[in-house]
Amino acid sequence: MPTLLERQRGLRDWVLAAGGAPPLANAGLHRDNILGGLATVLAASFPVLHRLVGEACFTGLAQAYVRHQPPREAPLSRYGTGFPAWLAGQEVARQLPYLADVARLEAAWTHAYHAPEADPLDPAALTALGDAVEDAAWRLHPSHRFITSPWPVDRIWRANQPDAGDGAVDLGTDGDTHLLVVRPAAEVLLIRLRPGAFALLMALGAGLSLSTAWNNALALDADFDLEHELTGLLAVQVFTGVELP
Amino acid sequence: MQTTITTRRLGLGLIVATAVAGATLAAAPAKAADMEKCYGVVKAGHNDCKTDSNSCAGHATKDRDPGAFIAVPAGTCAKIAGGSTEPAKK
Repeated sequence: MPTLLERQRGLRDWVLAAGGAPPLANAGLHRDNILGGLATVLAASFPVLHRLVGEACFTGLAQAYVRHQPPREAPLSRYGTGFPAWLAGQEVARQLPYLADVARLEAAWTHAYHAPEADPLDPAALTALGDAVEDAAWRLHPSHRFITSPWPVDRIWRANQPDAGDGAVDLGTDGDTHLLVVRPAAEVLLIRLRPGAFALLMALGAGLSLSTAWNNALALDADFDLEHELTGLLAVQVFTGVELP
Repeated sequence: MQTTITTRRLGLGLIVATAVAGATLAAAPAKAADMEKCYGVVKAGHNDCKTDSNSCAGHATKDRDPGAFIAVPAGTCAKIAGGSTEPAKK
């Protein structure tokens, strides 16, 4: 006689496996509800992906992912963080090479949405540093994520929002897309940055000094305008603090 | 050498002060403290408390093999074109 734990594990293994004899009567209904429910969770977290590939393909992908990586913790809002990486290895991602990067963007969006709150940098504290700002360490908002893609994933994302029109998206050939995803207040912001500003922000986020970050930006873009880009970054409130060592 | 560094440091302080002034003039988003966020929902607009797990909706698709559709995208991806769609682009 199997123990309760053995029976539960047997049912779980059967739900996650494709095929085999059901261990219980009506186990198929239970399996379909588990896979269907989790596919719905993934569709809520990856709505653009869902629109891009359509209902049937998305459900197939989602259920295959659930079988590959079932939830390991109770909060379903965090389920699917590994979905983009898994998706990159699927046949459909070979057909639509931008797909996995769109999924990474949606995972970043969900991360930003659920990230902790943080007060923005006090502009007076920054000005008060004067020239000592050179030695300061900058803190970025805990919700921030950086996305780089060879595809215009921000345009694909916007064209597939519920309120978007019916227009087509041109993948174009104008090089890499650099995105900042951050939620300084209630709304998640999706901001396309020039390569120099992206390099500057990544360097500051890694704890480098402003002059080192500036040099990184200048190395990518000789015309990089620190004052202009810093104004933009301060306005979106991606920084939460500056500290002298 | 020493002169160069001093000039550079002076420059940074001024640049940052100007950027702060510019950013303060720009419209800032509402402060986080003014907002109340609902935790535990998957995403805004999806918090309707309906799950397929409770309504047995999975039953309807019981005898369909979702695996068969994995490689057959049929959504708005048809509207995304141009450039190269080969993975070797980058």
